[in-house]
Amino acid sequence: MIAVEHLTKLFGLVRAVDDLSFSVRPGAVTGFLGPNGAGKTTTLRVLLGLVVPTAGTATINQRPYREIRLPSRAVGAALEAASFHPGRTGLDHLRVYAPQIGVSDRRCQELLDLVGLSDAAKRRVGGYSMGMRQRLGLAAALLGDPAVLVLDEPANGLDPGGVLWLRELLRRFAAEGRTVLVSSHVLGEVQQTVDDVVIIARGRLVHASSLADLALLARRHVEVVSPDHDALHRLLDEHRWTYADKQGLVVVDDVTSAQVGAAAFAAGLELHGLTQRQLQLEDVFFRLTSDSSS
Amino acid sequence: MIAALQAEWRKWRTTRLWWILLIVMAVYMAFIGAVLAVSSTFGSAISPGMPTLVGEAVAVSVYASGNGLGYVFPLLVGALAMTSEFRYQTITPSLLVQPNRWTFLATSSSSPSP
Repeated sequence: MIAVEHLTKLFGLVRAVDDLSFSVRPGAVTGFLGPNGAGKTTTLRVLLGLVVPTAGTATINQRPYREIRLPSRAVGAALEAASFHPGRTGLDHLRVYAPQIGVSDRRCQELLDLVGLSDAAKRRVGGYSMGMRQRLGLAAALLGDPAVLVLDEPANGLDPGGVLWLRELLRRFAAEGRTVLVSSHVLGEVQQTVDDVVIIARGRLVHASSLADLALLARRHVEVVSPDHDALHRLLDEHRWTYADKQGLVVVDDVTSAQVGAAAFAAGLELHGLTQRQLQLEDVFFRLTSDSSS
Repeated sequence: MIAALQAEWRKWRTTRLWWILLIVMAVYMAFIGAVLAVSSTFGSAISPGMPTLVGEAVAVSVYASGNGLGYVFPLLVGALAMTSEFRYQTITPSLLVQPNRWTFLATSSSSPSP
């Protein structure tokens, strides 16, 4: 269980995080979303004890990260994909952190097998691709078999196959009752992975709910084209649908194309266009994160 | 604390820098030793005012130069170990496994001693 309460972080005059509160439940994958510069990484860095907050708290199982004994066994974290010494091999990268986490060299090899890097274990990280670095970062996060997983943009640089693999891995972790927090700046990237979403913009919370509740914000509408404009208006008024004229077509809110089509057919109205439109989740995300400027 | 020292040792041993530096140190010290030996025995032949050492005195001054000049290498090791943590941002995972800043500093600064 991760809890962030009234968290504020100032960098000089810049409010990177502004009175942010949210919680992350175990047994689910939570997406931590926001555009670039929204304060996601700062929040995660505070959570992991790398940055001291100006005000507020961020705790994992009611304790700040720095007060957890053997923190890497409780919390696995992968921040940026660049934190590797290019001259070290993949296996050695894990071996370097193994003593302090308290795991054996064999466990390091097991983790490399798990993330699909067995063949590259003895190769220097400098020659790794972005996707391979992401996998190595994930392996390092999982070394201590933690119950809480914090990942910053883990899908960055992964190919579609890698994204699918990551999705299944995270789903499995959540199913085991672990807490998984994944940040991303694109909703579409994590849409099929997450159960809950926490959306921030300009350091403030703009939305926190389950993904299903977010989907409710996605309004559907139908675009209708008819040569007989007045008859179409009369028909829509009859059904008390809300609509608006837009460049030769009429946009009807909150109906399905089947409803409008059936009504037009019953009234004997000629239609030249009937298109169902669904506001994509990505559009909702965009609207939420740009709204907060006002 | 012991685990942290072991980690520091591994950090050092898993990069190429350690044996490059070892070779540089061996070559450099051999060179300094040779130059000292030559100049202290044949120095007077080149510039007449220079004192000439013989026997045990030569051996002592040549072999003691390792202590006098070799100390820069552990210093280099320490400086390079710490700066590479910043350069490659490996300080992030280092602090994640050891959130206590004082322990981290203490183990990092004692790492060049072996």
